[in-house]
Amino acid sequence: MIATTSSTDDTTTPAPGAGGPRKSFQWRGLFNPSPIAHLLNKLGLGFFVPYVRLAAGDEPQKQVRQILIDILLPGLAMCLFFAFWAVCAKHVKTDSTRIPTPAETWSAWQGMQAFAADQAVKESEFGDKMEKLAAVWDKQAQAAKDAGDAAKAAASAERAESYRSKEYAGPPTFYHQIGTSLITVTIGFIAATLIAIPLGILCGLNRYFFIALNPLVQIFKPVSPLAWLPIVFVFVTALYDPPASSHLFGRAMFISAGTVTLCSLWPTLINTAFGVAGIDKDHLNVARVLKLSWFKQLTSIILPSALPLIFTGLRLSLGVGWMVLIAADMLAQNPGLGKFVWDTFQNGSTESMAQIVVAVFAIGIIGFFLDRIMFALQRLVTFEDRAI
Amino acid sequence: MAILNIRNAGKSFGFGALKQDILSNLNLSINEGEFLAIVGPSGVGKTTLINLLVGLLQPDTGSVEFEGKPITGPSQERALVFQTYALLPWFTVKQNVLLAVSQVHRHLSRAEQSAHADRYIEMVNLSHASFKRPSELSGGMRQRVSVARALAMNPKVLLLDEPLGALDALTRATLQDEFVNIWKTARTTMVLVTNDPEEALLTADRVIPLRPGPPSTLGPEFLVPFDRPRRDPAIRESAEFIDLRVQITDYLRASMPRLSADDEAYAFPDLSPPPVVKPTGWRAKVRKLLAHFPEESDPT
Repeated sequence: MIATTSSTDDTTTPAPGAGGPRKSFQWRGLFNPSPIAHLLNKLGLGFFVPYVRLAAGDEPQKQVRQILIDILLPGLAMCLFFAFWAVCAKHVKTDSTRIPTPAETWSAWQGMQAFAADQAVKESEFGDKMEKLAAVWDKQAQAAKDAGDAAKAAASAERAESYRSKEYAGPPTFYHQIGTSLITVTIGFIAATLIAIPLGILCGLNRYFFIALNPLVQIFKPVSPLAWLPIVFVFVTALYDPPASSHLFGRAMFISAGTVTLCSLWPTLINTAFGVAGIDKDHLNVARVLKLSWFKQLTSIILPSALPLIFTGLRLSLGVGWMVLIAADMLAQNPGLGKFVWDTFQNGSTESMAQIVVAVFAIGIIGFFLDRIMFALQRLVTFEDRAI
Repeated sequence: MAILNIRNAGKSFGFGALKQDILSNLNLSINEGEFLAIVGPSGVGKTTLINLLVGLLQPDTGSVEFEGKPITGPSQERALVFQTYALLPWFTVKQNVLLAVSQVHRHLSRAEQSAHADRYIEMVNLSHASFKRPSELSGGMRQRVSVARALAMNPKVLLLDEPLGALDALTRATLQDEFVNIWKTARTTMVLVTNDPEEALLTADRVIPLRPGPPSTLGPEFLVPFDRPRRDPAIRESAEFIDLRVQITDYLRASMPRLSADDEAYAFPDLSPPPVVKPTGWRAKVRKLLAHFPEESDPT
């Protein structure tokens, strides 16, 4: 009964997927798309696979259909979203401000770009001006030296140097803020990785260590970044005294980064521990029979076998870290995207609301790319199916 | 001369009321250079027995001795071929073998170690696949890598724990012959644990059944008087060979739990599968539409 039903269905609508795997053996098209498709899938760029297959002439109808689905369905959802946004912009308002329309947001984005370009011009002009002033003092220093007045020459040279070292003190542009945020999250994420992976390996290897540490992990894991921040603040203020000249690596940056560390180390720690604890018993027996040293066991068996899960943890951690960073930036007054959002919100106009929406999109898109990068790394370290 | 000795050894798992004796009263002496096979059905403790010989497990009673000294742990002189191959999937064939070589032959230079590994990969006829990873190999090839890894350690005893259990009949036959050839060339003591009496008779000098328990224990030895190779029908289908196989099988079957007469007459209940309801109306249309869009493997 079941068999006849499916066979009649097959004759009327042939299953498009049926001819798939056969293709790789005898390819008669322009080029063999399978290796490229495999690579794209591996890098998390599966979206582009139908285009490659189409270019190779592999079942064009099927590829066009897939491409249409890939474009039309998200496009439809996007349109609905913009419509909803437009409606909100029309109706949601307070006394002082309202939700900006998509068009306002777009022009705010262009305004931010223009501002950044303008600042870049001003910065280079400032540099030229300082260089000119410095040149004047250089000349004076040379003149004094020729006249044999060493003290005056030294003083003039110092003046010249002070002009050259002056930095442009204009307001940070959106790009600077993105840069600051990326640097901060990188510092925090690297610190979290350096703490979480060794601890995770210890937890995975030693049951007693895991039992000892588990309650602490479980209690601190759900703590909000906002609660960690004051504690990190005290630590950073007590332990780190930044040089007055440094704009970038100030206390605020390390407070933000520390908060990111404390919130993002847990997924890596837990995944590493499970990855290490879940090693195939036979692989450990191999190590025992071969009498591998502890270090060799770590590098040739434990780490390779736990790597896929470690990277899963790292990917989750970076996601958490990026999310936490915005909140930490706001409170720590680290001049990144979070501070930008908060300061702009305090500003209160509709124009500044539009800038906030731009920031929201920027945060989302950057987070997406960070996730893609981690995904590609994760795919690259994941070995093919285990033996047996 | 005995290289391995088991004296009155026993092993149990669990504690208290749940304690179960898996093996008891084991007595065995394995001669240097012989090919010994231990035969038993699934789940009687064959792997436990071989783990005692390797040193991965310690006996609860009695002792297991290697060259006259009690075994306290694994040693590079007793190599094990795992039932599940236990190859490291992130290493190539060569790297898997080299891991063992670099561990056992530390005094050799890198080039010598590499040559040593190549020699044993050659011995199991895998030179052409030396740079492949285990996932790219068939089951039989994987098991050969595992054998090469064990042999490259130049062990005094090679222990094979049901090495052919997961392979098809033709590959099994090839590898059985290869084991015999390897035993002839490498001249090590070999202990093959298997669930197939025929496999044991085709390869070993001596076959010892592991009588199902619990607790299981070793039975009387069966000497195999045939010349190798034994795959020749003149030997394989001779009355003596068949007789020996029947004796071993009967010995094992005698102590296995069997279905009682009542169980054999089990009647299936009178059931029929529910009718298949073919979707009609809009459901059928949606299904038909969806058939146009095959589910692509989504990497995310």
